[in-house]
Amino acid sequence: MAAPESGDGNNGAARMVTLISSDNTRFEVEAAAASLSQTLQLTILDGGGGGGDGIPLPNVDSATLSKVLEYCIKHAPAAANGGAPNATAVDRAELERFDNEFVNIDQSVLYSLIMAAHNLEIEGLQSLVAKKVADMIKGKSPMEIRRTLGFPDPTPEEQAEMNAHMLEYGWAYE
Amino acid sequence: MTQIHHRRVELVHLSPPPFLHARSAVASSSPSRCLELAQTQHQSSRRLGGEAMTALELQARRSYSSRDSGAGDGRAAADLGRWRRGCGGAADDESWRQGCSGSSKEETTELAVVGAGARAEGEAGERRTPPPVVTPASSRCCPRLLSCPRRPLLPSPPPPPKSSRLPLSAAPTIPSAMDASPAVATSSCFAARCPAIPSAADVSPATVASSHRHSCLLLPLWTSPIAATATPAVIVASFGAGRLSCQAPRFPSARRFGGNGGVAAEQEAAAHGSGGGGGCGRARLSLLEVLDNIFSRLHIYDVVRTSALSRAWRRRWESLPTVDLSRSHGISASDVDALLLRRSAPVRAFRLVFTGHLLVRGPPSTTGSSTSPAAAYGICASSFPHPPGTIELHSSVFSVPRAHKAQPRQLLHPAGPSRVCRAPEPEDAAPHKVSVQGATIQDHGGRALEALIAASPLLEEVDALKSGAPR
Repeated sequence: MAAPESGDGNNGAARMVTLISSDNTRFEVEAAAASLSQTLQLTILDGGGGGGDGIPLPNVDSATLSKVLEYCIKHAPAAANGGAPNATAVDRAELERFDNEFVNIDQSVLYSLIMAAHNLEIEGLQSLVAKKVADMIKGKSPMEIRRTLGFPDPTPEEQAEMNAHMLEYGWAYE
Repeated sequence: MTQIHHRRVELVHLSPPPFLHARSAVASSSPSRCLELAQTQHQSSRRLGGEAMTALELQARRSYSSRDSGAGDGRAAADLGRWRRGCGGAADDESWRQGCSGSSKEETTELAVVGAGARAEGEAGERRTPPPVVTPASSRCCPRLLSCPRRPLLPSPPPPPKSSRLPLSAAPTIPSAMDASPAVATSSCFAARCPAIPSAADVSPATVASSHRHSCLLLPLWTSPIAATATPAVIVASFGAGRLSCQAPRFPSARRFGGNGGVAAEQEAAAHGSGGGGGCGRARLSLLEVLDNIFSRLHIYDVVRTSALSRAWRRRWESLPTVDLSRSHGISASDVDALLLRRSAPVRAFRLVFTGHLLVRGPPSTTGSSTSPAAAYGICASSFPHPPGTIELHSSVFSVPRAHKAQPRQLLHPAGPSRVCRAPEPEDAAPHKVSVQGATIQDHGGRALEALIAASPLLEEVDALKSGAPR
């Protein structure tokens, strides 16, 4: 995925664009894949990102961007034919499997992915990651959520507050 | 400029009168915002006349808060507020202003309190013809409600973006304060009206009052009809298994498709106001949007539980723009109330799944293809696979923002054979109306409704008429 200093693309049928991460790594991807990002779409439609210019993405580091682009490249064909009305069940299952594995990642990566998906406005990825985080929270007690999200162990004070909360919001703990 | 919305909310129910309390408080923290609104009003009023202006003044000057009375009874006390406006807007405006001229800007004025009816009447008696008696019979309020933190249901609006769209010279004289709205309660009806543009046919309290038995609440409600300053809030009601739900513009997409810089600017302003610097505000905003997206996928109980995580999380969920209850199976009506009451920010999207039959109607005059209004707009939503009765139209909230050209995505697009929404209207078409019939309004639905309406700028008109017997 990472194609540092790949220079100008545009040889071949698919138009290529170059994205530049916050740490100045250049990624060259098909315009169709990058266009999954609403943020980039307009720029790309305007002809930006081609040639040696590249589109700088100061909010996204290279590790995250490569991850994001992995998603985009995988999903671009399906998105290209309009929500894939003619996609076979196999294709869909394949995408689903890919998605499940895709978010099965370290939490810190997950969080930077969330913000990147948000900043780039990639709808599918936003949902995917949000769903993943929601699953991490779902059905758990505050204590379990704290552990899941990597909070430090509560101080006695915090513990008392949590207990008080549990009393106050008892209906939410049923 | 032209997106002035007529808002009218009317609820009728047969259950014991809900005890509500309304208090109007001047949004003293944001004079500039008031000014901006007033400026916009001024321009609007050229087109729409004084009525719209008055409504906007209200909107600029008020925030709603629940009553901060120590006793549970008082907390539960019914808010029998009513703002009644006749068709003659100009005369009403005059008396309205007279009513307000006394109070200072910082003053908190009780709109309508049980037992303080005399005051309200004295202040505004001249513009109300038949002042029925405020009769709060019982104080039935769930303990959860009593434990709710008292806070204004409608937070002070954020300061406006720096560039005002209107010259200052356009600002009309702003009355020094808002007035108290008179409380009138007749028996057995709960009706709240938001008279941004009172339409003569609709705003007839007599109609409402006559159909009720227990109590009547006409809450003064106001909303922001101005497109550039209003946020594109959409309240979404999901019918059935979501088939009739429309996609509300989400926070991010609202920014994208809002078509006006006002939304983004306002959010920015809000973020700046509480967050600090520009980058910080933006990051915070992003975080909220992300959280909103995540929380929308959770059962509301899960969401509420996050407030126990730490102090930083304590109030976080309350300020997110979406209230999504479509995944909250088995939630009880009082829980809905409780959580709506805790909200500290305007609700931009509200999703709730109803059981029971709902008849949602549009105004009869808008589409041409219909044979009868009921056939054209009416839908009878089938029950959602919840056990019947888990939740019924309780905080019956529908918002069908007018389909103006700039924001076509805000249309309510039900996917059924019968449609709720109409074709996009021309800009100056009649205001939208949604009415819901046959729904049960729970005991405390009024309060939740009040909160929600106060926080829903684009809600135009809601009727909820109960046809069955109280549960």
